[in-house]
Amino acid sequence: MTLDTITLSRLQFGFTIAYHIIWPTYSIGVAWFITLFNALWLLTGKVVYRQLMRFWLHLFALGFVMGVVTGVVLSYEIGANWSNFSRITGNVVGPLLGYEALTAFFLEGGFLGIMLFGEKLVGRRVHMFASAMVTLGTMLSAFWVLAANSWMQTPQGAVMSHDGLFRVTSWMAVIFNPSFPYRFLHMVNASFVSAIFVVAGISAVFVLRQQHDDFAHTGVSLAMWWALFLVPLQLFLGDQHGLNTRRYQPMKIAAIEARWQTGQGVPLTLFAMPDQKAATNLYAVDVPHLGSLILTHSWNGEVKGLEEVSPSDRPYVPIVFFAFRAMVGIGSLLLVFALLGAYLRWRHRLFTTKWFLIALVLISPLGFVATIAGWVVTEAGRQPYVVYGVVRTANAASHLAAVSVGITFILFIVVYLFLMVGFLWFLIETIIRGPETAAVSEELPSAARGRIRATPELIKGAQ
Amino acid sequence: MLPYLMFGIVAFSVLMYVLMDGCDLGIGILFLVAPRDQERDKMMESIEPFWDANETWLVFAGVILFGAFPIIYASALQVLYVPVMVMLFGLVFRGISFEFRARATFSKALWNWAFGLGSIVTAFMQGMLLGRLTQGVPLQPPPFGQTFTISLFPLLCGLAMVAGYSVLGAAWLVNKTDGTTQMFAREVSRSVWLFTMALFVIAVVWTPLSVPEVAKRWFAFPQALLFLGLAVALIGAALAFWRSIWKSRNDARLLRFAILMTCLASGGVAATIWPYALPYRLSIVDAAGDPVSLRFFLVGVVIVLPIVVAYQLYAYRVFAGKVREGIFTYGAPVVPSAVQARRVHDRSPALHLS
Repeated sequence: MTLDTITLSRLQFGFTIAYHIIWPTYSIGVAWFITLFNALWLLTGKVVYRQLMRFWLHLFALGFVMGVVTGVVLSYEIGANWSNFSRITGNVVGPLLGYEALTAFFLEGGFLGIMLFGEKLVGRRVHMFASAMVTLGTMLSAFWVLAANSWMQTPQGAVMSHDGLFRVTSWMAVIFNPSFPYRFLHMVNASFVSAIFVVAGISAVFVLRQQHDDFAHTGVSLAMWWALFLVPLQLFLGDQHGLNTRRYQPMKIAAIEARWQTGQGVPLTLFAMPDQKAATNLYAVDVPHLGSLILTHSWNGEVKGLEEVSPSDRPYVPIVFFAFRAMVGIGSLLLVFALLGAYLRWRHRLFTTKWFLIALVLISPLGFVATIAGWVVTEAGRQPYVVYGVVRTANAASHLAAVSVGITFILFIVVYLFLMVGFLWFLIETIIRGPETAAVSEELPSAARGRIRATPELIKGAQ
Repeated sequence: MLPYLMFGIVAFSVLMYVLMDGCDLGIGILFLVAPRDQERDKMMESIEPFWDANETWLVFAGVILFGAFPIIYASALQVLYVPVMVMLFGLVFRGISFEFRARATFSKALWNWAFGLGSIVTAFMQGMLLGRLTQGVPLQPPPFGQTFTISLFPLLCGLAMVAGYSVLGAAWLVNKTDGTTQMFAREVSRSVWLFTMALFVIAVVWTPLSVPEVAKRWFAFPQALLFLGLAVALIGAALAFWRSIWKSRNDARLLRFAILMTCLASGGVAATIWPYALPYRLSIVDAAGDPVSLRFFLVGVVIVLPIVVAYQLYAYRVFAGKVREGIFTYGAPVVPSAVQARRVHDRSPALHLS
């Protein structure tokens, strides 16, 4: 691997977008929880829901701002680093991202202030509305950006004209391209699942510390109910997405499975060291016929191998292969925890089983790891194309000096790691401080976002 | 027609961005010269509910270019890679400071610097970008070669942008704050006004001297009258601003004049560039994307943008009035960043715990 402009541009974009996707994932899921808590509070009037809402608003604001600052970067990085891509696909991808800013970013930006600081000023109902609008904004953002990405994976509804630029023939076909519904649902549900385990993990901290019992138990309980429902759903959606990919991007599936030869009744390779040059697997652990069964849902179904295309048209297999296993492995682990949670709840031990609660804390970031791994699978798996089958990634980059891109890449790594340290620092600080106590919540609803570093003693003193 | 409408929307978004985020960035620019953390807290709180929506206009301007004028989005960003990237880093630091600084205890100074320097760098780079665009940029950089050279003119524009935004920021603060913060804003608005005017005059003289295309446009009849008129109006607005700094009893007046000045200056820039989309290389029509895409985009913009403006105005109304200090003190020593209430009538006695 030589560090030329294209490689550096890919590394930089891959890094900045993988880092960015953490925050929309977090925002979509947490915003939805906040709206849920908000609604439950309005409906039941139970203070605990308000406490949950306020606590998660603090944490939402923290993650949301990370998404904003890393997202602004992307909106200009596409043009700066992928000039040729922007020129070629501008007629298609541009308006989709335009609609994202128009319908989603403005909505989030416009109502975020009210959601975070305005409860006292606008009243409960309008505040509920603002929360719902921010949540809707996060979903719309996912809608448009996944439409754009899916179009790049399974392009249709646009033709490349003589000047080498795409021109749209049908917007419906562009937006609702074959892989879009699967990718959209899989990603949105991934956000929910990731957030569920964050909510469960952080609530479990309070259960373990035996603080704010009502708050902590409600958090764990609600999260585990949703986990029981949404984690299996995610596995199902993933399977459907896989079937769709097999149909439209068979080489991606071949890379996922490290399947070099086309065959019928192919095995499932649990583990191997794929050797790209020799086009073979080392140390393979195979389960006969299982590959065909999973991919085609039949015992002897045919699975295409990478030999179908010339070596220069193949994705780099090891990355896709291992990233896929990371994603599925984490998904399975989360399923185990969802089921365990249900079992413990049935046995009335959900809040007393210490090892389970500790494990919930430890696995809470794994949803994001799985999400990034999933994106690596889908993005690395469609190489060497940026618009599948039509535009090669190598032809999409800007003609920049390698040194310029190299320097910005290093800066991005340094700055983003620094931001991550800051985020985790303030996250942990917020958790240690805990939710606002009921008295504070009741009397001072607009004392938003943990700005008040008053201890309970001080509050008592004030009263 | 379509391309002009779309370009009008680009221009509108850029103007909205400059006006709104100009106040934001201006506060950031003034942040490090503010007297104490107490004032800095107020300064930040005055903008906190809005900054994200403000910055969205920048993203929007970028993506409309991508969608409606792909060639400009592709060429200009590539050719101006270095200043664009530096601007983005500036935006990252100042954006994150809103959230981190409010929560920080001992690291507050760090976020003061991140916010201040981030804002200065962002504003400076935006000025440089404007300067470079006014000079005219090539459609393609030399393939894989060095793409950025610094000349004096963009640096001047960078400085002028920093000064100009700080006028907006100071005017915003006079409107939104009171007490010592407002006093500081009034004091500082004199010096930044002087800076801005000096740099503006230099830039106005320098631009036609260094960019022949601009000279050709400015001094040709009849549009010379337009530029003259804009210049006169701008000077008038600037003088009115100067006079209102201490004398006006209406705190919003200063902001209105600052907005007027910004609009006039932006109008001058737009009239200078017209009818080019990428100065002196591509006209608006030549740079426009496929009509099918423009139409699809325009429909959405026409329907949604008024709604966007409406709820942004609503959000501004919700948080209208002065930022208040020290309401939620819990009887403890004032923790300045605990200030959250935004309205006078919010200070109901029931909440007055201290």
